[in-house]
Amino acid sequence: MREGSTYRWRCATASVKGVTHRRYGLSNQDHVGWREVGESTILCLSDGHGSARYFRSDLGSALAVEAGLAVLEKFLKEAEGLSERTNRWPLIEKEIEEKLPRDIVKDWRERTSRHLAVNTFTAEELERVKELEGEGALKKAEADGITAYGATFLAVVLTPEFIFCLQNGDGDILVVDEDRVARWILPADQRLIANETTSLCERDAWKDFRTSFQRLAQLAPPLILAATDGYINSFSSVEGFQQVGSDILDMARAEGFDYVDKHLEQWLEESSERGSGDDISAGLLYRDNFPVAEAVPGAAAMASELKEGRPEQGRLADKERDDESTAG
Amino acid sequence: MPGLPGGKLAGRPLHFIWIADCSYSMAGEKIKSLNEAIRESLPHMRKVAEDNPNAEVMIRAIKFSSGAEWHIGIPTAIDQFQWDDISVESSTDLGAALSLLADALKIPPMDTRALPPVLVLLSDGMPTDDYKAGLNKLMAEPWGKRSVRIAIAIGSDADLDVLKKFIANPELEPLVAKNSPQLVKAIRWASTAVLQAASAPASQGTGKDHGRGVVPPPPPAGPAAAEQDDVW
Repeated sequence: MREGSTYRWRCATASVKGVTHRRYGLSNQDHVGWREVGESTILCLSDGHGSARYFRSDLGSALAVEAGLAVLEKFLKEAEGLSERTNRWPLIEKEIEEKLPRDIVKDWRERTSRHLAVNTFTAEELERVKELEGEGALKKAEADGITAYGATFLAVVLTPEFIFCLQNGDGDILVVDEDRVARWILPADQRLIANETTSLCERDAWKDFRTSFQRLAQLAPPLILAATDGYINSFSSVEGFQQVGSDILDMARAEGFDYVDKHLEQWLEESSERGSGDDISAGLLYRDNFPVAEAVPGAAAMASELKEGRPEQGRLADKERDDESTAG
Repeated sequence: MPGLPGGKLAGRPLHFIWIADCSYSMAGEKIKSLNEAIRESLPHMRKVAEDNPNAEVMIRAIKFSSGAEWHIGIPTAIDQFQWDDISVESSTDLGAALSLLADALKIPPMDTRALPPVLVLLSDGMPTDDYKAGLNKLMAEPWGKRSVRIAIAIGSDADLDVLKKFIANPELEPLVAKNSPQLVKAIRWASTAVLQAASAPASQGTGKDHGRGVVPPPPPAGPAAAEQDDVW
């Protein structure tokens, strides 16, 4: 939390095995993780594909979250070193769009390769692929072992100055604004229907990443929701899923974020049971405004502004810079 | 438990569509067996649907002879679906049937959150129209390309090359039914084992392998034609 800040980011995550997977004795294919790096927060999710040819995708999704957290932490630390550069923003944005997808895929492939080197495919695993998906799938699994670990990837990174997101494959990242309107941060990938998804395991997987970068000239949005596709597929309409964002924001404001954190897993379980039947993982990033001690210069006035609504564009950023120079 | 965030919850739609040849050559035992086999499969389909409550199975049927039309055109929940017998007419306009099917798989009316549809083609002969135009139209639709396509050849005169093109999956051959028990077995497999596999939410990669990971191995053909009184 920066000196002069009147809010802090809270993060809640949960991951539940889908009722269909419980019924058939399958493992949860999803993973979620988050990490604080200084004043920044990184949230990563991944959904293993789960079908027969992706027979280690539960491990693949765990390794994807590990890879994402490691690569993004390294990026944030290096980005701090650019703070004096006058052209830092184009550099940062270019790195997010071009280098980070490659780095994440590379790191994930290295982790899965290391796992495979120590844990070669068993005869049982290969027989199951052949039995369920035929010779073609078996040959592909033997030729490129990484396919078996196939998984999607979603990430949200929040810093005091900017937000960015990256995604390969299905799943959703919604931002909920002060007026409770929930919208998608990233453009849709039209290929992703009928349970088909792009994947970290594909050739040139970095090219299938979608990215979004935004400088925070004004107050950050109050809530960001990231979820694997089992969640949106549990609702009878897209609007029904968008309503998750606005309802959670209302609950956090009325009952406190601890309340949301406490109930998130139950909500995901019920949604899977009555909806898609799929595994569901979700991560929430909530801007928790709080009354700041009078010792922090200007904070009381700023907190009053926040209660009344969004400050004018640019004013908050200027105010925080002034507070920093005063405190320094 | 506190109120659940979000709107109305629902299982994912799974459209199952029969595409039935009712050309003149299907007259007699073939059409009788087809009608009986589909009707007989319904309780088993209901059981599969009960075992997979997160998939909302909706069934329809197209019939084709001279042209094509919806035999049962409204997607009907499996527990309410009743099969009305189809009767034979004249030619084998498969292209018209596939074109009609393509229209049904456009977005909308298809829901982007649906599971891959299951399309089961039953035919005993060679198409008498431009089936390639209809097939191209079907495969140009995102849901057409990603559907699970099964073909059952009824009798020895069915054009297996055409059925293979419809399936478009080198791992899967058309099932061949040369008598009534074999047809019953093939229809039972398509309506239960395939439906069961399609009801699961596992993901597949994008690319050329559309829909290929879903189909389980078909059953053995059953009693050989020589052992049966009726051989088609």
